[in-house]
Amino acid sequence: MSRRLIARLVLALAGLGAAGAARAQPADPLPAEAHPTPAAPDLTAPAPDPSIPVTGPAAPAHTLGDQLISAEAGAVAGGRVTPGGLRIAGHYLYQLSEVDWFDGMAAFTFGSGQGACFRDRRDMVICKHGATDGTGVEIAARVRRLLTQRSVFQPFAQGGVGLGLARFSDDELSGFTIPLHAGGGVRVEVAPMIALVMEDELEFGFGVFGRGLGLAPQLAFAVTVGLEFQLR
Amino acid sequence: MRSAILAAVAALLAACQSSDVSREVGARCDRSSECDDRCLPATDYPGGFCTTACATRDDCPSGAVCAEVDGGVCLFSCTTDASCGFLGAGWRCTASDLHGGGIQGMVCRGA
Repeated sequence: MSRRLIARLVLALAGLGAAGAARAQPADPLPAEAHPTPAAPDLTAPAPDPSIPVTGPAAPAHTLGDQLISAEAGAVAGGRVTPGGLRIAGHYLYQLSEVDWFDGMAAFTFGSGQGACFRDRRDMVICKHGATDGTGVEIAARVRRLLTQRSVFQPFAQGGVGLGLARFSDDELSGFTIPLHAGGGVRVEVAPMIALVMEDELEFGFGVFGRGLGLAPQLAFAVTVGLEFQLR
Repeated sequence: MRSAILAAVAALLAACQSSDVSREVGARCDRSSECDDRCLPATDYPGGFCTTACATRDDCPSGAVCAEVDGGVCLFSCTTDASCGFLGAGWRCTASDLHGGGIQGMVCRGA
């Protein structure tokens, strides 16, 4: 950890040094001896050539703090034994590198409790829940990779793994789930320390359920929108 | 690793399987909460039988008729005992009054 802090300090100092150097050397391709003396401006200096593109100062990098929290709401489409419905999620993000962020998520899914499981004539349990049935809670560890940084709009890709509980109340069916996450989204800075975040994600994996159902696949698609706040 | 893959494939196949029965008509049951409507007891319907109340045949899913049982419930229609075999042991194809029509039809019931 200390090694990592030192590395980050070094990077930060290097960044400050580079920024200081950039400030100390405004964009000017002319060598020092070519500068006219300020006291005697050269009125005979040729007009700038319009064929040469004039570049302004570099756009400032959008700096993020290294920790963010966010609250999001949206919808999840599940089915069979994957809960779906309203999704409420909270995130804690910690910067890992220039483009990668750890994203710890706690998500709650609220769907209907309607029963949809039955026993076939061989006494095997079959569940055919709809896209918005069941309730679930999940914690997940994901990594978000920013695809661009120097923009108000920052698209990102993300992936990770979660651990959850699923419950279908009318069927008295519960289980543990291990979904993998893969998706993406975009964050839009709306204020200096606040960003709007929209993300969509495919969640797929397996769950272990009671009532003799055993191992069952999990598949869901989630779309959420929320606000992200910079901690520092 | 190989057994894990096989288990995963088996689980996927199990999840994709279809069934001739449903919570509406035909599923095994011990109590009505396992069915959309009601559970006919295992004493007369081996394994229990999920069914729904009906007034006419149109109220029943495909393959079922509205039998004059408990005021009208859906039962699978049949032609021979063998055609009731998918319900398990102890089922036979017997003549039963159909609800509302004053006629008889062949339906699967407990032996």
